[in-house]
Amino acid sequence: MSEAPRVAATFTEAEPLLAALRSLREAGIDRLTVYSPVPLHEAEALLPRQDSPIRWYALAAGIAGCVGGFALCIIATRFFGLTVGGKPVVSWLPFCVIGFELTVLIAGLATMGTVFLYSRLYPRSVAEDYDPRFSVDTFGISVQCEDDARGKVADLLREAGADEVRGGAEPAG
Amino acid sequence: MPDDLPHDAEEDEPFTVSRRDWLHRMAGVSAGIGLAAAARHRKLVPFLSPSADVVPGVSQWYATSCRECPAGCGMIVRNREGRAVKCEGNPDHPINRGRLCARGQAALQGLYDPDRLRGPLHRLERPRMKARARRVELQELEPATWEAALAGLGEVLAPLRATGRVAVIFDLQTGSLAALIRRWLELFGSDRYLVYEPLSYDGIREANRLLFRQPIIPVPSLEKADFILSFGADFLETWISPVQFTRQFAENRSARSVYVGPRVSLTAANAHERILVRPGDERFVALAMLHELQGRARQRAAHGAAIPDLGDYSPDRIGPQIGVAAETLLRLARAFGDAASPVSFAGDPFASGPRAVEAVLAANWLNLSVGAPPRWAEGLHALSEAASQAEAAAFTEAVAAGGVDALLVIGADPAFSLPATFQEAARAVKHVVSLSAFADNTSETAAWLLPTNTPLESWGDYEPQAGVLNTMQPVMGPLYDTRSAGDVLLALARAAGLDPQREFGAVTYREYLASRWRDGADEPHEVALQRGGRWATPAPPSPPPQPRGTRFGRPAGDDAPRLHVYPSLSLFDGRGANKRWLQELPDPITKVAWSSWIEVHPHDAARLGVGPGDTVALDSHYVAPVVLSQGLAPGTVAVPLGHGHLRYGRYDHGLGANPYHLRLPEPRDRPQAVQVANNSGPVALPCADGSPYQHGRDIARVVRASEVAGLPRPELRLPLPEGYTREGDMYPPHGHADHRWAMAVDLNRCTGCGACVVACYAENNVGVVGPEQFAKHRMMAWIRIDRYYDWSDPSAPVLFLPLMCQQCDAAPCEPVCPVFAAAHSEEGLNMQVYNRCIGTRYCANNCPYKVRRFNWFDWEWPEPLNWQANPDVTVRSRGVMEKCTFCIQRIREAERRAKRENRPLRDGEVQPACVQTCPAEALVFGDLMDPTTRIARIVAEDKRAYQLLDHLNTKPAVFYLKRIVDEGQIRDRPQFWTSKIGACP
Amino acid sequence: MPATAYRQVNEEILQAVRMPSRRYLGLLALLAGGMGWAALCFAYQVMTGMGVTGLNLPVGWGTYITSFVFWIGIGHAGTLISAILYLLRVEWRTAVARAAETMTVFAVMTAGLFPLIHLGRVWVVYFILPYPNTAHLWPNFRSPLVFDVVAITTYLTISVLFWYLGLIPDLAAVRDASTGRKRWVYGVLSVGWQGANDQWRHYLRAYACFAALATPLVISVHSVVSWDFAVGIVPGWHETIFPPYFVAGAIHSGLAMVLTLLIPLRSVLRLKAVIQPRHLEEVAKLIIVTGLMMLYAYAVEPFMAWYGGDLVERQSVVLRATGPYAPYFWTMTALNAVLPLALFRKRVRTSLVALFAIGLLINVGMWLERYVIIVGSLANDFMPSAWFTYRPSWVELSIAVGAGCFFLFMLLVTLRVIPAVAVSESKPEPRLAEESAG
Repeated sequence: MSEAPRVAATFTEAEPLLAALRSLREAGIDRLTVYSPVPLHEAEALLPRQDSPIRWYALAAGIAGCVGGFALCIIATRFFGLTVGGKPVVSWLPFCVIGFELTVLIAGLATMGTVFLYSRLYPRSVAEDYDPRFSVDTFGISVQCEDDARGKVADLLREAGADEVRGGAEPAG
Repeated sequence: MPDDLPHDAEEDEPFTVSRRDWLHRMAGVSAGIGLAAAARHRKLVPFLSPSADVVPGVSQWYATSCRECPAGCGMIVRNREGRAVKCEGNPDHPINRGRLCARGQAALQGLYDPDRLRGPLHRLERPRMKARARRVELQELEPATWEAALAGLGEVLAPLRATGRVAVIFDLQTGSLAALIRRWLELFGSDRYLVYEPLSYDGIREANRLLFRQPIIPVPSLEKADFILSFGADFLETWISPVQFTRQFAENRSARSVYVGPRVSLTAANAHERILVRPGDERFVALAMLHELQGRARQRAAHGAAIPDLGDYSPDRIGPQIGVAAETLLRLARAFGDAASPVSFAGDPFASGPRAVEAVLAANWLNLSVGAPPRWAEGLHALSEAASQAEAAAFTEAVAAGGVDALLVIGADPAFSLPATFQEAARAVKHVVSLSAFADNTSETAAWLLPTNTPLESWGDYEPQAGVLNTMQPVMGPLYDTRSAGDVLLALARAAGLDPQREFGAVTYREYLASRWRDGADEPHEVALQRGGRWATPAPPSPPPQPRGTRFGRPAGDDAPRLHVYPSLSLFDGRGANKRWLQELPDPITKVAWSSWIEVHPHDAARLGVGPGDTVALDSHYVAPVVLSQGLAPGTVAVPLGHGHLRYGRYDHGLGANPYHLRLPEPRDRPQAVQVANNSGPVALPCADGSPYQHGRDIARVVRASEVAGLPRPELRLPLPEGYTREGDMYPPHGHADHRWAMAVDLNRCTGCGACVVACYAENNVGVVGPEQFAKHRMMAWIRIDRYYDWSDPSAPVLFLPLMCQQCDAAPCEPVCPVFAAAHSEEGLNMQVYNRCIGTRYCANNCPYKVRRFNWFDWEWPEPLNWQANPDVTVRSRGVMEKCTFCIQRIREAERRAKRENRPLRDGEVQPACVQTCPAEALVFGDLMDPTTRIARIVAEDKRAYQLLDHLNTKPAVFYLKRIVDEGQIRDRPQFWTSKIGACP
Repeated sequence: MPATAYRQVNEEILQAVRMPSRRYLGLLALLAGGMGWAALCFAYQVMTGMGVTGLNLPVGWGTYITSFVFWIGIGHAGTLISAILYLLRVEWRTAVARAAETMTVFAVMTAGLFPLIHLGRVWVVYFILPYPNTAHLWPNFRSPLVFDVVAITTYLTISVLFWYLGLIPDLAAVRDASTGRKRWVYGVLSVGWQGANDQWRHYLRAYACFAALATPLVISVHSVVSWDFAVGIVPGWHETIFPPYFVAGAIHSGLAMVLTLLIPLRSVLRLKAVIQPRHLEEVAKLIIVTGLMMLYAYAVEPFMAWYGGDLVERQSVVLRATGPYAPYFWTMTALNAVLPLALFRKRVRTSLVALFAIGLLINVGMWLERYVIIVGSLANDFMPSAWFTYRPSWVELSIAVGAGCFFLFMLLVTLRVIPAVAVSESKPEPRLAEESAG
């Protein structure tokens, strides 16, 4: 996909980053990515999309797993219809165990699947503006904006206290 | 001849006859040809043109006689595709009425013994007694052909004609073979023969000679007796005719039974009361009773005058000397005297000398004293023909003295059971010829080993009791290059230059038999063969003549341990030792299998300083581990016969010790020395016993005789829909299609003899695990007999509990199986699907009855033992669980037959192998859903019925009927907490 | 000064991810040898039959199932620490969570070997899996063993996923700290993690979801395992207290194993600064709790046997304390329920040597506890005539020890290639003066 050019900045502290975020948001810029070595809940609050749909997927998958677990038990035992230990073919009580386990299993698999999907986790190289220090001790902001806004963004970032700012100085040819 | 061939009765006409008749019709006559052809193939190869008597998939039954002991039960043998696969009792036979004991069931293992001789052997030169001689000697045996053997022996025998320098030893034979042997000897001018049975019942023969001038062995009848008093006669396991006695005993269980003897044997265990005295002291109990009764006797009996003077034998004097309370003796005497029809008998089969003779005399006097002379014997037994131990010793001496150039030993193994003097005597004979199916101890001295057919491959006859003539026919073709003893003798006669046709009137033994059977019979002899014999109702023997006065000895005052040697329930006199089913059948009392042992009373053990499992030596050469037993008179050591073969076969090799040789140099009552053999610590005996106590759990239940009538209606949890209640069950009931199979076990009839166990091995291809695995509790028996006995109380009842799969309706084993290998059938059976089983063993853990068996290994089936395997039953491989199926193959066979004949199944038509063989008829099998069946009526009506561990609500389909015990035999304080294990180390 | 602190954390943790020493490799070789020997023993058992074990009738389960339950129990601490303590926001969990989770994963794997090893016909083990087949035969969903299969598969899957999810940011950190092929490998493993805010947002939600799923799971798994016994009717097995009793016992042994492993590992991996004695002391405090739960359970068993009035049950309790397995019974009571009381003393709790010893002894005790429950109950059940005792054979002991080797081997290898402590979680959240409410 073709992406708009980016302006990137690094911060050694979290507070300037938050300040930069705030000013960027005030400036109406919302296509931005924050990189951080630790989860930054305050930054989340300042970013446009705040909710993750993963729990709904987990819930749906859990319900499906539960229904599927019971269905598996009932269909499979009815297929041969063998009496064991005087218990009826469809014995609800033991099937609850299978239902529960499959609830957890399917919900867990769905959670993992959706987090990979939404966080775009698959073997790939990191983004161009990613700095290896982001996993150590450095925070970063990468802003996607039109060419004409890049100078302004870079300024905003610098004002907020960014250590380095890239992509804002020279206008794209 | 084709008319005589067995044909498939079921195909020809609808099933309108009883099972007995049906079996009867199925019982065929060996045609010989087809069977021989089928049997000689080592692989199953379909016939190109099938023989008329072999229909693949259809069983043929051949009637013959069991020769596993002298009792001579009638037997029918099932033959499938040319192979004998199962023995059953002949339903028509007057002695056993369709039942067989454990040894009879195991007869097939003699036929398929992997250590049988497969052709004649010749010893090139006389064995030199080298240091490590045993192996070397065997190597000196060279295979030979029959032609060479007969030619070689012909050269030996021809010069001996009419010289009298030929002798024969043979096991107990009556009728044709005995006649043939005597005639054969006549031709050599000899009358030297020994009818040798190791268990010779000397006491009975000698006592009857003294008392009635008749050296006979009678068969007492228990049928109408109301008081059965046995002095050391183990009539339920080995004594004379055990299957017959077991049936009579079980049918007559209300008769009071008392056992006087040194050890709690199976018979003693089943008696109402046991009086344990040291070996040899039984007679004093009888004499003390007689002392009490003599007044009445003199009045009542005609023989009063002859009653010996019993002044010294008053209970007060005798009691303390033999360790029995005088009151007990008095009580017994009065009970015996007051009984309407009492019977007493004695006769330790192995003992001889005054101890044995006086016991029988005293028992006979007891009978006479209550005026019942004709009741004590209703048949004359063939054992009367056997030689006594004194005669055997005399014969040995005569042989040792020279004058015998050729000695033929047929069937018997005297070297195993006679003192070593016999072997020395045999070495003095130039030509010893062994006619046996095995290279046994006696064959060690033989120059020629001529392998004979086993009884199941032989034509023959045997008359166990007067008027009961059994015919014998091959039940399959001979397995190996063997011949019948009769044919060998005829061939030897010919080889010696005699004309068999002229001298014997026949060229083959079969012709000889046929001609004898024709004499005086008003039916073709094939009819008798098909039936299994000619059984006239035995004429009641004439009353014995006036008894003569007899004298008795005094109790010995010493307290040195006395020896009690008794025949083993499974190995009998030793002849069963190479049958692995019998080796694996635990002794009913000690629960030891695969090994000999020495039973020692705890008092004596403490004195000797030995514990269970320690090794002890008697006379320095009988070495065996100790089993502690309070079921033994103090001052007694008891050892079973049967083990300790140096030769015979792999299954008794290196196991146990041979107690026969304890009677060196002449019969005696006590070992010279009892000493601790070594202190290498206790050995792990192969022992099936867990805890001998019930721990208050009421597993084998009893009821007092007086309370039977007043028992409330039992609350059974039926394995039927009506057995489910709202309060007791979580799940709704489930029904069954057509049948709900169930079984009843009458504990009051069951004697614990173990016939069912061996029958199950034979029917269901149950694996044999051997001594090491047995010691690790990995036995495979689908039905076992549990024994509960409070060892601290010798008067406590010994309770036997046959335990097979209970086929529960709510089976705990089933729901825990992850793969449906255990599931319920529509007919209520608890099925085990071997193919499906993955071997989690969870079902066995969860089975409260512990009847499931796991295949820890692939069990061995050495050629040709594998030929015996029932083709209707899978042989299970390692890693799968197995268990009793109620003989589902028999159920299916009967169901198919009924369906083909378009009729419902009849009650009793299906009989699992255990039910079929039970000599006590303690087991009843049938359909519980049909209220008219025997089993349904028992469950509905018998107030003694209960289910095992019923509080678990497993709804077992096996119903036990409580054993009826004496007053006072139920202990108030059962062994609740003890974890002490019983007799076994 | 978050920057320097963060860097320090990174360096301290990541220094362990490097080529190990020769002694370390030697230890691995030794463990591999143990595994190899056990594999040979297993092959021998498969070729010969289950008779090479000491099992018999009535004792159908022995060392293998004991080890199975033991290792499943060990596998409980990791998930407890990562899931439950996460939900409870317990601060000290970070230092031990990763190692505990890794331990969980391999303990469950080790446990999973034993149901296979104990089967009479392991070559048809797939019969137990629910898959469509021409015979239309499915497993019996009423059997606790099928519960086991499903529960343990689920538990292993969830544990691995949970562990891996937590690992992703740390793998990215290793990636960023390395070069060349190593960088490529960690690049693949870290699946493009770059700590972007979108990633964090979904990641944190997913992590919370996992914690929420794993919490009932961790409770359920050992409950299910306990049903292997509680569903059976064997006296000594058939007890309603089993699920909570087993879960508590599992956590007890799991925490003890955390102590046993972390105390040597923190010096071997030079993580003393990250995994501090105070963290271990917190674990010890939890052990006091679980130990008291064990004490309670041990006391309830005889009480219920007495109160229930069932003769067989009463006898089985008495036999357990006086019968052939009495020495094991008293040892395990002392080690599991009495010994942890020593941790009430601060001096004991803070002594690493004492903690290590106690951890080790509790593990011995917990193994014995399962042994006594499984073997002791089977050896003396309903039919006294069938009573018999069991002793493990050399094959069983070899395989049990070999499985331990497998566990340690996998653990030691893995902790060398992944950060043994969660890097991202060890970094404190930036302290923000103003917007903390935001």
